Amino acid sequence: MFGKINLRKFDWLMFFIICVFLTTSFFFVWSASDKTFASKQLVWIGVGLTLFFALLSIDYKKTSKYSYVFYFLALFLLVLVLLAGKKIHGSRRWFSLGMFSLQPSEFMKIVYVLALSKYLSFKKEYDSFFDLLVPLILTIIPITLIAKQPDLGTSLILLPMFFTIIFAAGIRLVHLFSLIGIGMASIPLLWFFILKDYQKGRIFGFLWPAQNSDWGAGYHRMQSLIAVGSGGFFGSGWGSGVQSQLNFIPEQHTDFIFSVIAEEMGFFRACTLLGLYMLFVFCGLGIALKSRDTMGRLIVVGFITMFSTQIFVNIGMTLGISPITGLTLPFMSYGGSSMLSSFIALSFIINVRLRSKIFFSREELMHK
Amino acid sequence: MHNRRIKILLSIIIALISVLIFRLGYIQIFENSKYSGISEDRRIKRTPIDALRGKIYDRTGVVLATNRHTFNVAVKYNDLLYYYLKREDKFFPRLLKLKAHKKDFVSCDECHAKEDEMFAKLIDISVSGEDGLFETVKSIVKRVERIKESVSKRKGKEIRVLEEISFHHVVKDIAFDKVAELEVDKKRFPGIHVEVMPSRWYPYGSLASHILGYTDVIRCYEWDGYGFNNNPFDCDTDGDQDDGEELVDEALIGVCDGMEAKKLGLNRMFSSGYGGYVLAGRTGVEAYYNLSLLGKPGERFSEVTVGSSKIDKVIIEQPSKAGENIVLTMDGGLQLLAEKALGDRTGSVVVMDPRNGEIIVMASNPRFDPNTFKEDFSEILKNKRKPLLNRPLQGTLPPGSTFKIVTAVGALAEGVISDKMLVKCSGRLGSERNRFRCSSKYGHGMISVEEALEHSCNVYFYEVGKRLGSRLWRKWSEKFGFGTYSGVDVPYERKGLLPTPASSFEMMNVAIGQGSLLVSPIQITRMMAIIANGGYDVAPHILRGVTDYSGRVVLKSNDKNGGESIVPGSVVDVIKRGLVKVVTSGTARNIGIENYLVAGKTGTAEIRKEGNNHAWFTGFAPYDNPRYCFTVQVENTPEHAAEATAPIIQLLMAGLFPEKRELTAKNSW
Repeated sequence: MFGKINLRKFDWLMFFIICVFLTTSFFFVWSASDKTFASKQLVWIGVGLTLFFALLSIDYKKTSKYSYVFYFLALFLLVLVLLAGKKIHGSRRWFSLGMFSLQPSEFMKIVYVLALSKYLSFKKEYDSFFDLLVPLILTIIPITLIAKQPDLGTSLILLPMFFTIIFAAGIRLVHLFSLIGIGMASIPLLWFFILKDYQKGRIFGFLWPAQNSDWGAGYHRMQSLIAVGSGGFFGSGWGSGVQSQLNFIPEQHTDFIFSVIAEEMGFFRACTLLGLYMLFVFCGLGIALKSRDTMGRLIVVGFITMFSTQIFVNIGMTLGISPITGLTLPFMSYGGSSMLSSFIALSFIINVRLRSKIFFSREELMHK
Repeated sequence: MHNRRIKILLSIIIALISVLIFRLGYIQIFENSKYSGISEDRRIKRTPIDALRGKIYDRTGVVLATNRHTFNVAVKYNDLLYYYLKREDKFFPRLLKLKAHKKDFVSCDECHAKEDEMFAKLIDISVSGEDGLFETVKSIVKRVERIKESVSKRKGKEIRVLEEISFHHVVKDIAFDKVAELEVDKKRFPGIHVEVMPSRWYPYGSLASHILGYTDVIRCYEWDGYGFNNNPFDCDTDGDQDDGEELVDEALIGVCDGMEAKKLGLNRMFSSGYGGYVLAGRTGVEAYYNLSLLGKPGERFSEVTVGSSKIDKVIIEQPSKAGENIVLTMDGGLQLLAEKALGDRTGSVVVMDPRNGEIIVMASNPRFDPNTFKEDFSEILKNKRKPLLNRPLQGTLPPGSTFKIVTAVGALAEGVISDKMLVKCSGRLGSERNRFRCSSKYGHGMISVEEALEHSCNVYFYEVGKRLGSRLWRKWSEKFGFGTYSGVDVPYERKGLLPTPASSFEMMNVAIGQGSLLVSPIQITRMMAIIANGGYDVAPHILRGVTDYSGRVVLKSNDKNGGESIVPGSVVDVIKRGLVKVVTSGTARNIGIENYLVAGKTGTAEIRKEGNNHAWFTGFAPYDNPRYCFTVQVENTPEHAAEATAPIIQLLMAGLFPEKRELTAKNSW
């Protein structure tokens, strides 16, 4: 299966960056919670890597033949989880499968990118605004279902993915901006009819931290800021952060793992980590630029957007500049679903690099 | 291809990540001093603010349940341990070691003059005297040591538990002047600490204790169900309470070592020092309307210095929201009367408005006192008469002849019999031996359905039951709500047992309310209400309305008349005529309730033991325009239904219709 592909095309740099993330993740999940969580995380990393290489061996064009099937399957799972899911902290997001729980919305993100890219790859022209109708429907259904769980964070992450994919697919800018306009106009509707009180509270808590009364959010933000702020240049050292070791930060091995890293590792190393994320995005979009297959490039754009949104929202939340949502930090936060979905997304990105026809630069051609 | 667009995208993302880097640098470098101070020696402490639990009123505005504060004397564990070591000889292994180690510590009286003085004071305050106080101390020490042992065993090393450094309630509920005494002498007794605890107070003691229920402190694993913002406990709320968690939970344990606490899942509680003292209803209306009564606890966030736990400044305060008041349809005065009328008999009285299902009285005997529930608990459990059983809802018994009403309604409505049809009663049924006998040895002769109800003729209903058949009988029983929950808003109702008779033998038995049939008094009352109001269904309920703390009505229960019509009017009229005759000339004649215009039906459920019946009387009054329907039920009485229930009904009627008492007095002379 690997026969036809050139292993030299495998993106070693990206893989190396991921390895750095995974190592960091293991040690800081350990620091933020304990050995059992860390070893579980190790298991997830192992499962993720296996899945990653297994998926690499299959041509993404073959996989994406079933994109729509996957999409409807994921929709079905989302409906099912609403009906029969396990309730944790008041929302139904998880399926309990004995030992671990599965979060279908994580997988929805993946198949959403696949389905949307597949649909758009057949289109060449975008003359009419109504060409966007099907993509819109493809987006709105999962958003509604996930928001119903209620998991606003994951549902809204589909929006940037939607916009970047249609943007990269070549939609007219006029259409794009009018779409954004319509979206803005519908915000009041969202506010009054869809958002739950605690979600409004979090938005308030984010906008006016000083005078908000919902402490569920303001408290998290403040504790996280204290943790990050006390890290300083060099950090307090692994396993000795005052804030994190005394459990002042909520959900610190999952959502708030970056505040633990920032407190214990300090500005230089946390900054390096952010730099690595930047490099990761750079490499990813580089693949999209070189790919000649429309679907492949849209897939890559979608997944890179997914990663960067998660990175921005998650780290922004620990730094107090974005609202608190349940979005995880890819390859870093503790948790099986998040780890697996990140690996699946990564495998598609690398897959596109391995298999789609590549534009060769002049130097490379000269070389041949 | 849109390479330019992808490049734009790339620059946007890189710009966003750069924002993160700048922000990170800003917080970590420029604001470092601001935050690191907080992190080093200051903490944000979270203190809960109790919410006032709502009151419970009866329909006339009498307060049935309210709040008060109890003052408990709490003493440091170290002092308790000292007192224990000084007096007790038998020790746990660990304490033995401790005693050897601290021999001088304990035996030196001079060094402990202060502690001795303190305990002398405590003995003075305590109601139970020296020995009682010591028993309390002993149980506390034992419990703490047990927890310590179990936690240490689990962790494999010795650990200081939170219990060891906290205060323990030694003397509970002390009088106010004693509080003043202690507070004045505060400097002399640094180890003593008077704590104010919210507690529930039921001014009338055991009055309507089954309706009201009792309260207890919310447990860790229940917290999520209440929908507050913050669970002060960080425990697994999915209900897995196994392997000794109970013990841990019982003590509301926190462990001094942060890492250990994390494993126990109680870290946040530990770090905030939250005791989680919120009352929740366990039974009765307290439980059913718990969420309304509860309110919402508030929180205060203040900055504290770690060493001294001194509050530097209050950062933010979210005030608590008082709970809503519950107004019951129950009439406290009538309830009291019914309970008095029941006296020492084991049984129940239910009075309901047949027009809308409002429960006016729901008395059960024996009762418990919710004020002293915890203290009496072991005694209550030992009581063979089961005071915890809410008999109107949970005491399911064979209904006896009262169930003949259902059989008669079914047969009339299905057209199996007519009101003119006569059946011959010869005192027993046909050739079958004496198994199916009638109440009258010589029989009632040729009788109609009205007379059969009047004299409670078994033979008539054997015949009707046979004709009706098990399917139709079951259908009508279900229509009247037997075998299902009546849906009354008091928890833990039982639905009884509605059998499907398989043989004609069984069918004949259940037709007169014997056999395996089990019903609760509320179900019988509902049946009577349906007859009394002319045939429509009612939903028994006890909530009249909900008001907020300022008395504004938040919710009013729907007291519209009329539900789904179940029994045709013509059938109801026949039954009513029969029931009126029961009191004027039938099985319940001459028991002194004729002047109240009562119509009703007696029922004597015979159980195997001879001379041990369950007596029932269910009826409504006045029969021309029913305002009340009621059921009186007495367990295990040697008398027949009419005699056993008569004294209760007389008193009850006098309470329900005071204007007719004079008439009754006149007539009985």
